[in-house]
Amino acid sequence: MPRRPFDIAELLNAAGLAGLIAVLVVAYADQFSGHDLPCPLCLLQRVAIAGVAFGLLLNLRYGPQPSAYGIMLLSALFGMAVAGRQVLLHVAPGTGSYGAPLLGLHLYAWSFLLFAAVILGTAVLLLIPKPTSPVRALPRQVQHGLAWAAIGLIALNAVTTFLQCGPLECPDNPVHYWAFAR
Amino acid sequence: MTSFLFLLLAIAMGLAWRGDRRAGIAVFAVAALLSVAWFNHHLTDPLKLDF
Repeated sequence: MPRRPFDIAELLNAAGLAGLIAVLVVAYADQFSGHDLPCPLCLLQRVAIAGVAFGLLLNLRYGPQPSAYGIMLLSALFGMAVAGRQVLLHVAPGTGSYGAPLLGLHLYAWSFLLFAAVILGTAVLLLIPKPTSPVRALPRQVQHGLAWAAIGLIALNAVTTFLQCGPLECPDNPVHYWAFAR
Repeated sequence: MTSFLFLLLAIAMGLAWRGDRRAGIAVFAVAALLSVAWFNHHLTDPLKLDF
């Protein structure tokens, strides 16, 4: 008896969530290994990534639905607006930059490209028809692993952002953690 | 404030993953509105663009 194929939309949603987890890990690596503290706009871009991850998680848990894709698109548009704003702050000669570049681009430029890719990817996902024959679901361990890794990373961002910024707002160019400043 | 946004999103994801989709989306909606308001609050630096 032939094995049933995986649902391609579910696979791509899971891959997208894994990709965003990797992006948040890279952001943390830059923050801690390079002592490159995220600015307020940088943190808002991470918030937008968390919003996209929320849409992907909904699709993984309940199956692909238009409302979850809508959440992904709105979050990506918000992220593009924030990243675009930061790119425009530094695009003119003599206006400097924020943080160290990674592979030739600053993180906010990468972030802008990431959100553009999310919008493109979501459009592609919306083109995929519902499977007409029975499909195989991803193993529960994979689903749970991805979901709880994403939830854990975003909760960790709440903790580290509080340590960095405190209860109010971060300075524009943070150089130390609010919690360890005294 | 930004840490509160992350906290809300983590709660939204936790609720949705544990089976309460509506509550998850409701918490996400609150986080989304606050995020837009917080972004607007940070739109203070003038852009040094010259065309």
